[in-house]
Amino acid sequence: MRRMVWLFLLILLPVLTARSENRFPQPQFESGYTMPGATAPAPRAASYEMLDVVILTAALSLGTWLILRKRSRRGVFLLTLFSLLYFGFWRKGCVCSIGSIQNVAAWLSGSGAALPLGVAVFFILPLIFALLFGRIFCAAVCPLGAIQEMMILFPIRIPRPVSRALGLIPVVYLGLAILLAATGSAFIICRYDPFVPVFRLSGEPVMLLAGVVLLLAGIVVARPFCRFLCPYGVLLNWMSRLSKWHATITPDECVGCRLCERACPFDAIRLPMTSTPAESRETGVRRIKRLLLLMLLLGVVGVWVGARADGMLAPLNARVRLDQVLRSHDPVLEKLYATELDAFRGGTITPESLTVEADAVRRKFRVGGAWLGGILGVLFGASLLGASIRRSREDYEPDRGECLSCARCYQSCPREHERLKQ
Amino acid sequence: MSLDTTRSQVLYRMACALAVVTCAFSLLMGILLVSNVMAVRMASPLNLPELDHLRETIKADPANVAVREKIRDLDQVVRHLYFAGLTSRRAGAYLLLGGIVLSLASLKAVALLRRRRFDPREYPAPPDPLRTEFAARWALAGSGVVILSVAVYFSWVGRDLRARPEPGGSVQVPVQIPVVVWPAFRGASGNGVAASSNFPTAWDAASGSGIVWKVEVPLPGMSSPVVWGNKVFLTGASEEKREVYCYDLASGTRLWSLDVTGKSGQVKKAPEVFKDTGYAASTPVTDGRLVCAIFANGDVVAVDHCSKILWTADLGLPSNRYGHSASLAWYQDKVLILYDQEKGKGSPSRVMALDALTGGTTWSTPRQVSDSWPSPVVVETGRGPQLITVANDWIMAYDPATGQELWKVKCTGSDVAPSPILAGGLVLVSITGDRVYAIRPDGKGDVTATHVAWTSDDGVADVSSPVSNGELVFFVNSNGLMTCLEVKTGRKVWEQNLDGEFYGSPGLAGDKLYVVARNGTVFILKAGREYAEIGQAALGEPSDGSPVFAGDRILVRGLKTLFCIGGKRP
Repeated sequence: MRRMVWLFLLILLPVLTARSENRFPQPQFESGYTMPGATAPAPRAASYEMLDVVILTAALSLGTWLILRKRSRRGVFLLTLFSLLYFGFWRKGCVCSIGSIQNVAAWLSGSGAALPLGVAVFFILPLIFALLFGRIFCAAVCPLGAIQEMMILFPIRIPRPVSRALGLIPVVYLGLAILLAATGSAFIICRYDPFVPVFRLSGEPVMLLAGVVLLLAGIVVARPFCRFLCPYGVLLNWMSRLSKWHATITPDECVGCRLCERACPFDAIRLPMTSTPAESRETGVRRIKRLLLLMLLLGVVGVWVGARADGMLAPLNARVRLDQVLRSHDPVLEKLYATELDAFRGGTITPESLTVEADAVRRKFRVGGAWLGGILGVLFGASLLGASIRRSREDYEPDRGECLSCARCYQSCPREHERLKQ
Repeated sequence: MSLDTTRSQVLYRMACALAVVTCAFSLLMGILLVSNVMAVRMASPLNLPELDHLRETIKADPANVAVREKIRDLDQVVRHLYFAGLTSRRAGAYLLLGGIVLSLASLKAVALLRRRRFDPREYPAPPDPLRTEFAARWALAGSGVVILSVAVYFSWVGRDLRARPEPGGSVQVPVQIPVVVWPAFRGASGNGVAASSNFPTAWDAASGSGIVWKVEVPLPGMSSPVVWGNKVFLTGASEEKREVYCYDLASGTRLWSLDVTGKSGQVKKAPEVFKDTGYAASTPVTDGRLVCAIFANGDVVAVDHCSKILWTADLGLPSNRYGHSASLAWYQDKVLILYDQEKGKGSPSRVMALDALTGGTTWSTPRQVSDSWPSPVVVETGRGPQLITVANDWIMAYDPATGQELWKVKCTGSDVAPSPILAGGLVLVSITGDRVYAIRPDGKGDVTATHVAWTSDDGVADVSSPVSNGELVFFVNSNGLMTCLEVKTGRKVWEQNLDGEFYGSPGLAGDKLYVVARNGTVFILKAGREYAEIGQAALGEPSDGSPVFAGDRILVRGLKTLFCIGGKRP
């Protein structure tokens, strides 16, 4: 049974990653015409990379000004449109801050992977802005957010418990993406980006379909990728919670009119909470103590499970996969991986050194998996804890972590209208 | 804006109509695009039955111009259709994008026009925070349990993957894959002993019986092949040219040939060499990543297994009466070179280590000896690894990591050529014109008086190196006198005259000795306490080569040909 499972996995991997290349032999000319040789596109000039950095900085700065000072939803929308056209359709979704997580992880892992300056800036700058001003990047600069923003037509409300539960998914995704990048296995964020095929009007049909499905879902569930899948959103969420100057619903004082309650399609507005809860303080403290213990326990369980996940995760690494195939002597697998095997056999690496390398990768997966499992366990416990701690609020406030700073709530606030009149 | 005005109602209806039309258009474009993608992906334009039929026709009647023209026309048509399909897909994608943009704009307009201002009095009462928290905790717990279950399940099904799988068995434990490796002159240990024993004892090159393949080597050389995996590396050189070759062990196909003449950057006159030595007498060395070769003019070159030169080094033209012949040795990313020179001529003798990855000198130790011809050998002793070298006056051991001299034994040889071996804990050396020495390799300094276990006047070989099974050691001199001594005592066990001259060193596979005579006859003898001939086989051309045991095959270099004998697969 288990042998069947890993066979299935190894068979599935090339099918998932296979690209249908429509190639057939070149015509044979007898007229003396010489077929031109294959050409490779020249690498993009470094100056363009700097241009991207400049535009990112400018867009973040402008977004901050529009959201915090100008408080202009229209301005935010126009900036979003620009970001969609430039970072999305013009730059084809690359370079992007979401994928840059993997470059940073690969660079930090000490594998010798380079970290281009532009990519580093794309990773760090939105986080700095989030730490200072909230999720400006999500509001108007991220092309993936922008394309979903355009799709929000008839948003419905996701029950809070459901959105909290779904919020675990991007945390797991982030952890897996870092682990796979740090082990030199795969850049899954880029490979399984659902919107890049849309920007490029080309790509894997499965991913194109995923993108279309997410966009259609986005008509009623606002920005589903940003809220329930985006790994970079997890980091921005954490940073934004600590932000010094975050957007506020009202420009001055909240009058408690409740008009903003339905303005946010992301369910990121928290209601005032002034009433005394209907349970004793001792009950709440007891629960928190239990949850703290559970958090530690979950961390330990996470380490235990994570350290054993290398069996399933390591074959995602090309060297481990090839090592598995070489050792399996399975004709089906050998046929599926014929190209890789031919390349390997024609190369200079011996099966033993491949095994040594594959074992090193497996080791990395064991250590990294233990860390990942432990951290995820603790974070899961922290989420449970977070769902048990009440913070008193006088006014309607944006949830600093989940608020995408889209400026929609400004339009519903009577104080904002008053400000505009003045 | 609201629906209570006629203008708004008209706008709303227009927006709805536009939304319906653009959505229908987008849907239609989407369907067409998907069908186009499917059709192009499934299409195999040049495998049309009609085209196949025409191809068969032209095969039967190659002179039929009409059919040929028809094939060309059809070929052009299908290619045109194929690329037209790709172009229409691109155009369709842009149309779809335009349709979607319009659909979104019209739907957005519909949404805005039907939007009404909410009355907070209609809002439901805020949910009870306690109930919300309770539900959130349970929802979190539920999703956590799902994630944990998936992780535990994957850990459980993946536990077999954690051990590397082997075919067939349900219990999978890591095992070593046997890989054909013969990385240096006389193998990894420099003793000519094979790792296995399933080698052929009969073949005939004339009829091809038992010969898997044989290939002519472009340039001559006395060097032996070295093997790593499915690749066989060999050198060849003439007065003007020096080359490195790579052959496929399975088929004998020459995978590449690399001319390394002058690659060291120095233009030197060719050295004077003895004709039996030639310009490529030294066997190269490989570590699975690179192959390193040295030639008679002192040029050293390191090449990766795909024929890319990694580095070169110029050791200077050697002053060597017969020509440089010492093969290379390997120790921990170091290429070890014995470069002895005629005293009073040229640079002094030295032994050195070059960094295998860069070619830089790691260490170089001068030697007070004259020119020599044995190859240095790295052996693993009870006191750690030692590099054993032999010259006319001294047998010397060095630390292969640092080049520091460990011990030496005085001898009185002349034109000494056999290489040393380690057997039964003793370093065994045949010193031409002197004696056979057996030395305990645990001394320090000059150990001539203290660590020579025994010497023997029997079995002294002049060119070929000895081979041993640990109990017995076998020597053959150039006149064909084969001698077997006891390793422990040096006592002669037997002696036999073989019919032929011998320069190549014998090899040992299991209990069989393979001794190559200069006329190409290979004597296969029993490696025992009594002389016994198992058989003889012919290469069909002269050879001074030493047998190389690779998998279940034997490689022997002849005067012009490289032979691969026996075995069905490497």
